Amino acid sequence: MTLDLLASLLATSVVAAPLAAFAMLGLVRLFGRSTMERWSSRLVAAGFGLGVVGTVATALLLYVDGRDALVVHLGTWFSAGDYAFRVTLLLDRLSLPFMFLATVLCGTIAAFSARYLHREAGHRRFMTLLCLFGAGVLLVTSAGSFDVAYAGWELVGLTSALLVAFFHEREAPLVHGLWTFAVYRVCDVGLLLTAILIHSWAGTAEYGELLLGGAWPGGSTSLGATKATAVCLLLLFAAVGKSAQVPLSGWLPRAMEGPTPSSAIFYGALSVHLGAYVLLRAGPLLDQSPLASSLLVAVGLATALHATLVGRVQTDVKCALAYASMTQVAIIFVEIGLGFRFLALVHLMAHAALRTLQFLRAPSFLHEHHQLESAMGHHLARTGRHFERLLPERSQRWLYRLALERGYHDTLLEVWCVRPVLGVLRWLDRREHALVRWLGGRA
Amino acid sequence: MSVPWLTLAVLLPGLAGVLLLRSSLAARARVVAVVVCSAVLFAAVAAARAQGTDPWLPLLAVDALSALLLPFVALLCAMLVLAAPRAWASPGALGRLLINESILMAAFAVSDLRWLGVLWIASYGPVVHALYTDDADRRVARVFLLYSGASSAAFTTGLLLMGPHPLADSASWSFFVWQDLAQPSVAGVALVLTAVLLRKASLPFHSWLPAVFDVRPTGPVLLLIAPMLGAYSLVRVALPMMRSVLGEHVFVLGPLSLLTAAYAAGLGLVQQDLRRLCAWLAVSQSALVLVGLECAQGDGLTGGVVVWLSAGLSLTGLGIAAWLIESRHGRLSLERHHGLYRRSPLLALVFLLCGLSLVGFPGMVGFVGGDLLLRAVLESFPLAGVLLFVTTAANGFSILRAFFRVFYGAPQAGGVVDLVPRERVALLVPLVLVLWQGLHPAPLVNAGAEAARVILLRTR
Repeated sequence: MTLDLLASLLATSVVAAPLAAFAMLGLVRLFGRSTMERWSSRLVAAGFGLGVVGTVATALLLYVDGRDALVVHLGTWFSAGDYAFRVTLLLDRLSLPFMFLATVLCGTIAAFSARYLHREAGHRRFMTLLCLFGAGVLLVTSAGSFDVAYAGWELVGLTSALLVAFFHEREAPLVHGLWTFAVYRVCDVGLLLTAILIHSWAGTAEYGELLLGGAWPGGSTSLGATKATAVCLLLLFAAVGKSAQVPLSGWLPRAMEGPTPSSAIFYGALSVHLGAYVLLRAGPLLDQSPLASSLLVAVGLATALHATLVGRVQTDVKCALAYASMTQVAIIFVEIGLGFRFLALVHLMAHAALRTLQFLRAPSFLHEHHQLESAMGHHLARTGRHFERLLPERSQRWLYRLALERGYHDTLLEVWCVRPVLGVLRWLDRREHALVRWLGGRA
Repeated sequence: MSVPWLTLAVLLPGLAGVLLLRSSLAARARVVAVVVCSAVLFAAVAAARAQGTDPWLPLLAVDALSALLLPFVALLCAMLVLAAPRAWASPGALGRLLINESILMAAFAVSDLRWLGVLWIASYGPVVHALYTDDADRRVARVFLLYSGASSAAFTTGLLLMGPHPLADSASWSFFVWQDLAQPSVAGVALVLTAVLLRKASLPFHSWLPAVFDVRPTGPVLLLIAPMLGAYSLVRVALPMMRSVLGEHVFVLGPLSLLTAAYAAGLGLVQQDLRRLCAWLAVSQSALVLVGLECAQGDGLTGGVVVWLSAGLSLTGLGIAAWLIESRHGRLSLERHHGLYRRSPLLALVFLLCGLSLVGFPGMVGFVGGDLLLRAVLESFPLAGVLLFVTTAANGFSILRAFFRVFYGAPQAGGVVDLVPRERVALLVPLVLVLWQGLHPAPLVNAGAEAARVILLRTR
């Protein structure tokens, strides 16, 4: 067996393992059977465990062989005329670390949730969705083309919404799940349009053919500046939605309605970083477009300022962590916009790991905090109040109000976009009823 | 073709339907209907594999396009017969459904286009009958009669304007030679296009479909829209002439259908009733087929054919799921959450999967057709193509909203009322198809490409 073939098999198994676990759990459910809680947890953990082994082995093989990247062609999914949807994976210095992170964290969450959600009514549903989510993240990260990345991107979006609404017997998770899905759905158009336009302009959506000249984080592209700018702006739009950046950041605190393990993996670690990941992948395109890079920096700075401000007034630990995540992701955006891609990758991985830990410990955090204060005999010193002290008192009050309302982002979106559009649509619907009544005459 | 598979596929359901109408075998009616539908499905698959003209009735023939559509229609009918709620599935209702199947199979198999005109009119019959015999809203019945009458008149007049002498022999009216013998009449093409827009509920003739969905049981209405006889007639009658009549750069159906798709998707967002939502989703997704059919390139045409099959199958699955939900829990408003997940978990799963397939979620067959279509549309109609993205986003949201409203929320009291075995078979078979074809779409896409090639070959 050649090294290439072995590496290809290993890399494929990383994506295929969680998909296989999902298929097994899903089929059992589809045929009306029920799996034991213990077995479903073990199956999911095994799927991601296999993924960890596959990722490490692939990285080692590439290292031993002295190669920067491996392109795995899994074949053509479908083709018509000149167009072919080729399934290609790209394993390199960018994708392998993120795949390692994704498989380790998903496996950890599976193991954690086995106890955390023990005897919870939706335990198996959670495990099934975790597999699908993991497969989606791995597809996005190992994708060798924008086409494949889009498929994974959609899987992540759907599972996010379903897990936000995990506790579906209450009203609030359902409302917030739908809001999250709506933002995702709108922003996904950016990535879909990117894949189609790039295919049309360059004749391919594969990174290997599109982004030339050297291993990541280097490389260049043959696309002209105008086209590169258009593509980067679309990618930025997609990334802003997925990574909860200003002005579409309002869904992130709403998404905290889901169970803590899913909050950790989605909004602390993986999902929220996918926007940054795609931008890292499109680095050579960003190099061609100063406009898009500047906009990326501006969005990052605005979000960092917004999130750090709003995060200070949050009264529950998960929302505070969500805004802390948003701040760090925003800084990663700035780093990418400024061209510090390697730094951004290191930052991303470190942040994802730390934040997962914080989220998973969040339920016991308050308890431990009280224990610590009891042991010390006094309250712990408060930190994080330096920034606002520099401002005049009047501004402090104004900013406090602004922060309490989370920058009015969702309110403005609702008042300026959602309500007018729905108002017009409802008016049209009434006209439809009236037309039928008029055409039909008397009842 | 040495065995008369087509004759069997067309006549068997008609005869069985008439027998069921006249018999008193209430307890055995569904068994008879299921056996007949299975036999028809088998015959349709056999006819599709053999292709060519039927040895008993030379009027019937199969080419690459109808080879895809005949088994598809037979499958839809089998699903409906198997899954129809017990309260609806009287011998009379099942008999009418089988007669409807016979009409549709004949329409998709007949080569003489005069017969297609006759069957076009006849295919409206079951819904007209249901609207006038049951205790439905008479206003809606009159609206449907108005639209179906206008559509039938426009289609037959257009056909006569384009065709050879009305009394000419069958060979002259065959779709195999239509592009050579038909007159490139502007009025004829315009009338047929209008008829197709009326039938497919495209803007500005869309209002009848949500109204009919609103008052009739979902099953018979699904048979009117899911097979898409309008799109088929367009391919057979108007498409071969359209470019020579309208010119290379005049596109009517594509932009109008894109507008229809986006408009219906938008209205889907504000629907407060599950049935009406299904109706707007049907309008929106089936409009995409027409977009694909008018795309200049073969890829778009292939995408249109694949969307035709995937949307038809997913829509039927979704419609049946909605029908079964209604039969168990009554008419459902989307204004509040109903919390049915605990009571009908499998039904919830089927509803979600069929809905996701309908809107083209990755890994399902709808994604494949949608992907091909999106690329072709952006090339053919770059500006109007943006509407397709709006449609995709809005329909996806509507499906999840409906799922949340129907299945999530404070759980409803009562025991589990999930799918019974026959309903499971009826819904799981197409679901497996949707998933399998989504993961391994090459055979379907190749068949769609072959159909597209045949369509292009017959274009003047």
